[in-house]
Amino acid sequence: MQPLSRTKRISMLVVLVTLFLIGAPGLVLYSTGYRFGDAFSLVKTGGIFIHSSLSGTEVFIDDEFIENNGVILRNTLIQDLKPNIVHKVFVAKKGYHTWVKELFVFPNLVTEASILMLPTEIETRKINPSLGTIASSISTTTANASILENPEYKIVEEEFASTVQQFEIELSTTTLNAKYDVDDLPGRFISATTSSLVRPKEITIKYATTTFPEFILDLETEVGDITEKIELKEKQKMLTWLEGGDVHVRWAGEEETIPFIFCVDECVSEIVVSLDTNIEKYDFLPGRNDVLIVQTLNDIFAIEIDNRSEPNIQPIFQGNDLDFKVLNNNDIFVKEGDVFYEILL
Amino acid sequence: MENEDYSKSPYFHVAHARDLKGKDKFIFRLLEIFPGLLSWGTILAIIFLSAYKPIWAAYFIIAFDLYWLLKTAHLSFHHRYNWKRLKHNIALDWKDMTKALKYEHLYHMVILPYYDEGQSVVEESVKSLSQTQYDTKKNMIVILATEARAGKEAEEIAKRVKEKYKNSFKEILITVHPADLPGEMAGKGSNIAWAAERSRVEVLDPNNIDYKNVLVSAFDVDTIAWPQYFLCLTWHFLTAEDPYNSSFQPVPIYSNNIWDAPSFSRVAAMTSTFWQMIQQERPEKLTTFSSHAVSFQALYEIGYWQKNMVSEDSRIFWNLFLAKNGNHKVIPISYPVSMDANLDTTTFKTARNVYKQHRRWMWGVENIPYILFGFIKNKKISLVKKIRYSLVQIEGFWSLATNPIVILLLGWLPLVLGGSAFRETVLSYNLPLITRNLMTLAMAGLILSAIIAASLVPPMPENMKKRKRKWFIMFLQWILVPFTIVIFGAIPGLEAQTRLMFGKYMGFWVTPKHREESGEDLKTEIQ
Repeated sequence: MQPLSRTKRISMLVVLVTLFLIGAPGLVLYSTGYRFGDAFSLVKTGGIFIHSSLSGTEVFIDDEFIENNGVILRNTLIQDLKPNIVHKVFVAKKGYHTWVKELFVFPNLVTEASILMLPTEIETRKINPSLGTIASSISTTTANASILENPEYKIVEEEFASTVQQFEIELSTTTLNAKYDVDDLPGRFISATTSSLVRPKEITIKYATTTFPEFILDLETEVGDITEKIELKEKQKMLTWLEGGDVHVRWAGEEETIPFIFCVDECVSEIVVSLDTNIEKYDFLPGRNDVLIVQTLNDIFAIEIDNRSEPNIQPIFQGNDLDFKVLNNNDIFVKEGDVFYEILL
Repeated sequence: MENEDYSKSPYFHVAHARDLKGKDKFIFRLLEIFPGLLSWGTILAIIFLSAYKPIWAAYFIIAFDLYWLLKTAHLSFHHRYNWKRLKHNIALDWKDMTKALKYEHLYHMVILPYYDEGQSVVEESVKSLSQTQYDTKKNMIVILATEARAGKEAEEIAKRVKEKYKNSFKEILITVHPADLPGEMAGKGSNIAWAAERSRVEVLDPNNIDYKNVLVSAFDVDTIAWPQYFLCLTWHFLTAEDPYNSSFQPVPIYSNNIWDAPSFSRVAAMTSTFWQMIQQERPEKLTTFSSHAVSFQALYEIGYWQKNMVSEDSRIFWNLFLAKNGNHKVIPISYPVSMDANLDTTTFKTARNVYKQHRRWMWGVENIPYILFGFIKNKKISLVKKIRYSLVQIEGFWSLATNPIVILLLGWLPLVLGGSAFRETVLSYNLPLITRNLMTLAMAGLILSAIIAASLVPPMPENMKKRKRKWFIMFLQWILVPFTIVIFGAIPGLEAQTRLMFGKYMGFWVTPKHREESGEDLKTEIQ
């Protein structure tokens, strides 16, 4: 049997080189977002990437079904979208609120969004003050019983009674740890440079340099009367505070890593989360730094920090005389009057 | 150098820059730096581009992914053809093929160099020679080439083996290569060169055997000759256009102990076999490797194998190529010889040995400065030939050391280093998808590899036949390829090139030969 002939080898090589010469530019153009338009013209397209932690959802864009996401691959990349227009995305799953977003798509770029889909029926668990009664002694004439206290109730009750707020901001060169008492220090919660405003007893600040981001130092100047500005919180470099019934959000990380929710065409420095009624209290939804739990007079909601289109708002709890706490960065507890509930999301 | 015989020039047996002086030394040193610089330059350029020009890096990676896929298809095409040819040649009756040829005058000299390998390894090889279908009693000279530095035991093994098989061959010669001869490096090259010269003095000349009638097979000591190997070799030698300007290359199949070796060692071994099979269909890219054959006359003219460097097996081709002014070639005979896969007492030791063996093979990059320098000095070789051979060799070593790293490790780098502006682009989302899809397509070639490998391994030893999962693992093991080509291909390749770049020249490392006591005959059969 003769070795592979030169003709066959050269033919094979020619075919493969041709494939490469055609395929490589084609693949580069395709991967950049170029597609064939009318009359074989090349047109730019864009895309949308949907981050999701929920499996089994149905994804639609402009009322067209795109895909069911799976258990492992939960995120969705939608390509070939006409650029320079707004596309309406919605993600649905039975038993969950539908997430709807209108997103502007730019040529050759991908617009990102993260879904917020809470169950339509949220389970709650009431926390009883006692675990029942037990017989403490037995006599021939009377039987004494004592109440067995629920230690969980005690802990939750204490947490709700506490007015201490604390937060930590970690930056590349600076660590700011602050603890303050809302009652003792209404509004005058922080200043890294103005020591007269700081009560060392309540506030501990440790830092390598005094080079805090300008906006933290300027907060007081910028906002003016900061008596109203309370509940400063930070989660994964997302810095938030309550001001005039709205929640203000700024990015405390490097400019390079600013989250997509701040950026449409240009990135903005601040997002204001507001409702028709005043927000009385807020915290971050466990596991997310882009979703807030907000409390109004009679409602507790989850709301996106995303003003690129109408933010998705989904109810968590309704009632009177409400208060809530996120404990251990993970568990949501609601107080209605004197009754405590754990929210089971 | 215009009219001078290049083999007589002071450059002919140069091993490294340190062997030269002045301007020649400077040029040779630059040529030693060149392969490593090219490989590291490629890797660093991708890292740099990923950080500062991520879009360019992504374009390059996508084009490279496609190049890799098409290259895989190209190699598979050659591989599949050679597999057919190999099976055809194994099935062929070479006795019948050589019937019309006159070859009674032709002697086969088989050199088996060894250091501290055990008697069983040496004996198996000699036994396989005695069982080949050739008139070994009349026309085969076996040389057991031992090393003085290995001590008396090595010589004793040779004596015992000689005693047992002395009647099976025309001659069994035992040679003892003295230690620390000036200008030599301890290793296979200096040993077989010594053995060849001793055989000339002690066997060929006393028996008035014409050097032109002796075909020398320089085997590794674990080489098992297949039954009709010498008939096949004889046929190729006698029908070659220019037999004295040709070397003859069989396909080394590392299968003697394949059932005992761990899966990564099997994959690494088979990958080496596959590479040789592919090269058999691309003779212009083929150089001699491991066990090979060449006429004694050609060897004698150039002073045998080079004694002062590691890669004597491939260097002998380049020595002959330069000595014959570009008129020497390798004839692929597409017939197998079996050798050992790496195996040691523990998995770790085996992995270490595989790495070291591959590093030694990749040290073949030391031929690049030799070739390029030789091309500068030898004006009798055509420029076209010089350019073609240079590019083939440079591309070969560059791709072995860099391509697996570029494909499997650096392909994702723009996403990591490219910054947020890049990460917002459609390109950044498509880069991993396109890389993954093209690589998946390329990996489809592994199915062919698994089938070919399964057809080349010897039958499962009796004591393993109850372990049916062995066959399953024999197929499944191919998923290790992405790891083995990086760990046992690219990394030792890069290490070898880096050593050469910094002038940290390697010495010869003897691959330990270890076989499980399976009691099975090591002779292999094609399935």
